[in-house]
Amino acid sequence: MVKDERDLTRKESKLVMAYMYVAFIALFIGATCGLLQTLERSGKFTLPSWLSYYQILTVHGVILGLVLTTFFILGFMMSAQMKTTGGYNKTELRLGWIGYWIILAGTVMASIMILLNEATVLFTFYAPLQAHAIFYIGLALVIVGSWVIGFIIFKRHARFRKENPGVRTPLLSYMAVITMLMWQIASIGVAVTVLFQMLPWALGWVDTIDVLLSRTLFWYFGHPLVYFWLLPAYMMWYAIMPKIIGGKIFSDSLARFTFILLLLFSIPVGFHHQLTEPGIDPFWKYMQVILTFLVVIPSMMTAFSMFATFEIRGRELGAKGLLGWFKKMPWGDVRFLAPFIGMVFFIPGGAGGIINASNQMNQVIHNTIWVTGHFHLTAATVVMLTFFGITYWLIPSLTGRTLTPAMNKLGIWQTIFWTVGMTIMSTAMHWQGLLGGPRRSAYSSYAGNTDTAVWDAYQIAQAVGGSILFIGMILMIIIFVNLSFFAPKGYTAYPIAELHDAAEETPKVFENWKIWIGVLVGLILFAYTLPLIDIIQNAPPGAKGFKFW
Amino acid sequence: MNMHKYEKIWMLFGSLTLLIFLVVVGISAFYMGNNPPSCAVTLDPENVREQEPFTEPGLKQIGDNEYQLTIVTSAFDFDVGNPDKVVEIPKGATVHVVSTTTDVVHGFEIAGTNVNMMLEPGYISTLTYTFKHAGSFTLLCNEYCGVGHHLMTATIEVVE
Amino acid sequence: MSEKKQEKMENEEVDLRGTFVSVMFLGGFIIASWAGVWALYLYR
Repeated sequence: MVKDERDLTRKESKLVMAYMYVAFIALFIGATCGLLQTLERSGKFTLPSWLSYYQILTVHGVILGLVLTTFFILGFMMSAQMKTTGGYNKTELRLGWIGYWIILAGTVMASIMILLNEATVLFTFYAPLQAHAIFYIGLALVIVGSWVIGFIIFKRHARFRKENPGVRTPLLSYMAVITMLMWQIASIGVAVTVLFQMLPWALGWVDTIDVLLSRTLFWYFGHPLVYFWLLPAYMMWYAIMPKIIGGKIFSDSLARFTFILLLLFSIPVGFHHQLTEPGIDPFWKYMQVILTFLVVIPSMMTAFSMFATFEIRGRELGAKGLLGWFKKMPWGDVRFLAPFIGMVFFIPGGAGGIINASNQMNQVIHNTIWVTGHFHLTAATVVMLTFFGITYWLIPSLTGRTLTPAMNKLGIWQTIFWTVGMTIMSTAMHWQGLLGGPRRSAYSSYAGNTDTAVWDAYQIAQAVGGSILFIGMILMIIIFVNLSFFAPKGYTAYPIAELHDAAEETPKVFENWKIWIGVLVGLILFAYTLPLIDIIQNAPPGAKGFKFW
Repeated sequence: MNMHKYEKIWMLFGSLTLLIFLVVVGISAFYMGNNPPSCAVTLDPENVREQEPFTEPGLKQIGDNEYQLTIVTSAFDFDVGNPDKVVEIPKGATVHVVSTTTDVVHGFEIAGTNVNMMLEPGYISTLTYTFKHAGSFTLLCNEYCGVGHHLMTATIEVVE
Repeated sequence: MSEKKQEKMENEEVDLRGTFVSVMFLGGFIIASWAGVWALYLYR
């Protein structure tokens, strides 16, 4: 009889698992839609008449970009805080469930509208395409629910500081606070446009909508949204990955400093998604391009810290030469392999991101399938492989089970399928994008010219990649179900790394939230005040709603 | 907060690289006039075709080797002034592309060129481009606009 | 003060040549791909 021992309490585990179930159901639905999209666009398959390409594209974007990510991230961050701060009390747990049900209710409402073909507006829901009001209410509930979780994370962090005066706060809790702070401040933008522009307009209370204002508010949120996906992956890389390779955290202070920079420069950068739009002054576009480039700096620091963590550990294990430490890494351990490949993919992902944000150079790739290729590297590979890497120990740690060697092996195959599939699909997307192939489009031969005809080969390659990815997804679902219900009972530790520089003091100013929020608000006001005044003052007559699907 | 010597060099190198990127695009944008399309002229989206220059879509010569190409975009059509949806442009001509949408947001892209801009109701979008290479170029919509999104197309023939 | 200095020394002594080479490779990749697309922008 194995003793039922876990790092989190049963109640805590149950809460986190509730988030994980939704995340993996979302993965199954979303990736299945992805397969259908690539098959349709290969030109070799046609979807049944009752199923529109754009409807499944909407499902794919909403359920992977908004549902899977939000549920996984909130669940993971709460679990990391439970583990490192000493656990959640009754109130915090109850709020965790309240947030869960609010987000789930919103998700169900939005999903029903999408399935009824009342909201085929893609996951960016740009006006003046007008979805059913219930779709917008659902989105608003998802945001509000996530605010509840943010509040818990702030509260628990504050409680730790109060109960442990003078003690350095746990790194993961600190990072979760930064992530949610960024999220709360950014999601105000999307909440404003959904609640005060789109909802009254969809309900018929007002006839028209200010499209540019709505898009600007959306993208004020939209870029931090992608950092909301990335930061939890960084949390794993900085604070957990060292433990998995048997090493230590390179530098606590540098890790915190990196997160502060990410907080400051993730938000006032939305214009780099609107570079080719009318009505925004080129001077302000360029200002936000500069701010966007500043957010590259913490990622460059992260790259150095990660390589350093690996090199220091490798040398401890006796590695020789310039790159001998590479061979000392635990390649057979999927908990290492999956997130490591995720990190590697951040190299082309990051390079592509800099290209996208380079002001007029954006015209080369804007809204081409290059962009789809880009975020399938960053979100669907860097972030997802890291999340899969987390799953291999988080789920058994929560369910009181263990990852068997067989499941580890299956995980390695999962990682290989995902890597190969994504490499093929994403590379094809990048090249086709450079040739001008548009994103978010069903199969088309356009005017029949030769310039568009060459795209077919790339689209077939994407279908091949998509099919391999689908197999990878199925393997992941099998592993998740195994770890949740069937894996042998036993103790799995929640891995938390120790500090390499434990003696070094973390500067007190890092916990001075008034300063950082102040600087952040200052930057946002600088980047957005004048352009927003300009957009509102010079607004054209508003746009009526359209339902073109 | 200590930083390793190599990390300092790396951060310096990386920051300088970013600075060079910014200077290059900055000079090109502001000094050489290659700003991304940012036209601030507005109009009433309800009656686009009654307003200049959209009363008469198509290609119009306005100077020596200089043209204005006016296109009315709507779901799911590019009105280039003729039913064949083909525009012939002499190679090397400088073309001022002017377009707007009568309904939802569209993407205006001539594949294989730098002509790539968003069309939003109420705004005129403009972009000046010199067609340096001969051949057939496809104009298409690159922002989702509805079920017929992928069927929007026209051809730009750049002739010697 | 002396303790801090000593610790700093230790940190400097960590052999991170491999890390340096790796990040510089990364930097090279960024520069190459950026320059490639910039060339495409100019060519078009």
